[in-house]
Amino acid sequence: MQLQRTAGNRVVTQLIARGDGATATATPPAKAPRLVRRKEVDREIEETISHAPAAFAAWEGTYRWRAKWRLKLDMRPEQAELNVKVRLHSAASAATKRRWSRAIRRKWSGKFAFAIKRDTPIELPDGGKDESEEMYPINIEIEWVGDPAKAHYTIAANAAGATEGGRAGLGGTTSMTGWGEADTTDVTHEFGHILGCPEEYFTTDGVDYTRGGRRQGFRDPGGGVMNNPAGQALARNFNTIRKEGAKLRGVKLNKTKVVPWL
Amino acid sequence: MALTVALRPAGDELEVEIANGGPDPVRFSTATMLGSAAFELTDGEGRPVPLGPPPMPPSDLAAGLVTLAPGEATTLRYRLGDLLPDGLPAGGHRLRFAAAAPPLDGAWSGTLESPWVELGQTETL
Repeated sequence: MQLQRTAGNRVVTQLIARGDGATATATPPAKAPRLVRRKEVDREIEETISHAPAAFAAWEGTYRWRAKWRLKLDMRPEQAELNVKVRLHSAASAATKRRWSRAIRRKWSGKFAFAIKRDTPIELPDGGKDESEEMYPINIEIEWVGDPAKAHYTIAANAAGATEGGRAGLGGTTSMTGWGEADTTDVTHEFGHILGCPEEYFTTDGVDYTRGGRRQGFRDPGGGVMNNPAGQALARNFNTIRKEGAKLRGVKLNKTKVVPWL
Repeated sequence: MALTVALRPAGDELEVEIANGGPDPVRFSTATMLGSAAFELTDGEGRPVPLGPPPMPPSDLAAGLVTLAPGEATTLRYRLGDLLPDGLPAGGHRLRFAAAAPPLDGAWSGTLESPWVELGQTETL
């Protein structure tokens, strides 16, 4: 598995299947497919929130937005990755943008891989199974562009405390495109919306995140980033990327999965 | 209820003025009057139009407590882009502020709604 993670995909799995595993110099495929594929994604996302506690009843309702990014599937063995690049524009300072980018990269990038499943898993000598024919680490990057017309979204920079009365999220973050200059936590949740993630709090799309009332239902300890912005990104948070990745790779969705990478 | 609400679009901003028209002070929390969770949008036919994703619910409901003396008002400011990150859809629309002051000890709680206002293509996001 370690070899697969560092040296590529099909080439490595072919070596494993042959059982020699000695070198990574495989014969190139007879038919050369296009190894680097790109597409612009612009996909409508909708969520419905229900069963919110009385104090948060205003959250109940249906919300809609678009997941927008450039997706690149690089199938070359040494550079293999599924790269999601979000072009953003903001008048925020370079230092603020660097802090946002770093927080988002740490939360979202390089944690999971987009995998193409084998028809028949390979039994490994240690008793495990290699179920993936190809694996591509999912790397997330932000490109800050100067021209808002070239951006997927324009981010408004909110000064911390600028919104009176405590009506802002952490450090001034107010929405998917209104980020607090002092915030590196809630912005990672809002960025998740840009990637296509719905909320994971109260009851969203019929899923009860209070677990029958045993949890608060939002900002819960151990909750994923779409429930608790301080939490980690979860495999299911890459579902939109997985769907678009499957189309780009030219395989059915059920031939793919998102698996931990690091 | 002594509180009245007025919504005023101003370019890419929305101003919500909450005024106390009664004879007594009113104490309430604005903590949940956040982003798209605090507004309703309809199209020209009166059908609801979904807004963009709401912000994270606040942990501290008391953080937004305000007290309005008789005749006093407070103005809450919002960015239209927070509500409609992909822009206003084509056609005429109506927007209103519709939020709730959450139940807290010693504070008024209930729903605050402004009259509907027309939103045209002139609003920039």
